[in-house]
Amino acid sequence: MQVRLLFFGNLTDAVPSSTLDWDWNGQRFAVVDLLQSLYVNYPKLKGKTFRVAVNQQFVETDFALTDGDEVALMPPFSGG
Amino acid sequence: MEMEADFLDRYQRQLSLSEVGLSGQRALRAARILIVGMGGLGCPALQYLSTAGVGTLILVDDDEVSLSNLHRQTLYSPQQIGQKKVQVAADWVSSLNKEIKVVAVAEKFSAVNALNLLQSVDLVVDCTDTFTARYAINDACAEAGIPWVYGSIAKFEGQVSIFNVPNEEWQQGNKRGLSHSLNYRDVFPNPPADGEVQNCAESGVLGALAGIVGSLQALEALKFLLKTEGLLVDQMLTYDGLLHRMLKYQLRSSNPSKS
Repeated sequence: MQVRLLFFGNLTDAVPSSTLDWDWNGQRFAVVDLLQSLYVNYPKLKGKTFRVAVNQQFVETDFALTDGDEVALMPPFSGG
Repeated sequence: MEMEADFLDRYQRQLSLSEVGLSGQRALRAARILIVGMGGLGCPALQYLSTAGVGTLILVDDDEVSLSNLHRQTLYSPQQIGQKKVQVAADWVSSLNKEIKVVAVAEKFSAVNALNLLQSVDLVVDCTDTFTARYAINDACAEAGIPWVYGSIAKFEGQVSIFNVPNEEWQQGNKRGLSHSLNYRDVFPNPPADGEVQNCAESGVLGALAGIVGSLQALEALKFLLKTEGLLVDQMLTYDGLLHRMLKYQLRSSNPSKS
């Protein structure tokens, strides 16, 4: 199973690229599982403020992911 | 009072839009907008709201013009360094069009002055650069039932939305659903920790990016006043200036009573 990850704003400093393709071989695959996996691989993401959107709809962390989903990690921006 | 002929001539190029027309133009003239922040977002937002003919503009910012503003804050020039931004901006509006009522408030928007500032305001445009200011605007507008256009930037990216829009059906007595659309705190219940998210001074920005996002905010404000389709109600527009990519996200509240 693979999902495409999009990182916005300050989160791009915590990951190698603002777009990543993420493979998953485990059984249950909800947003919360994805985030746990990301925190292990990219520790700088842990503790950051953001919402998650799947296929351009904001979701809660118990949302179940499907092969091919686009998952965005959206922090608030500050500048003006 | 502006001669009707001058009024029609000045706005002729937008009157021909079916979304505007004479009634739309009069609605703009009757509108009162509060713009909080006269910096990178505030300058383009003010320029396009005043050229479009919004009748009353209240500008709130306690800052003064400085040299490092000039790369992106397009209303200011070196001769104005040290002057209050709201006064320089107000003078600019007056020289454009004496018919526009412009009020310069050289204060920081906060819970202390919010109630007073929001009197008879139809819409607020958030052109601030701190989370403190944005949550203050959000909470005051939520209390007062006033919608506001959100805008923020980070390097080459921007976010735009319109929050707390009154639900017309609810206002007319059909009290199903929510009285107002989602607001900023529904989306981001708590601000990030200090230092977690950088502002323009810390991370850098090109003026053109601020110009794009401030202009999008002005357009969204005008669309609200003209009651056009396509408002970003319960939606977040994101713009990536490096990829030239715009994506719209359907928002959902973190507040269980609103989801």
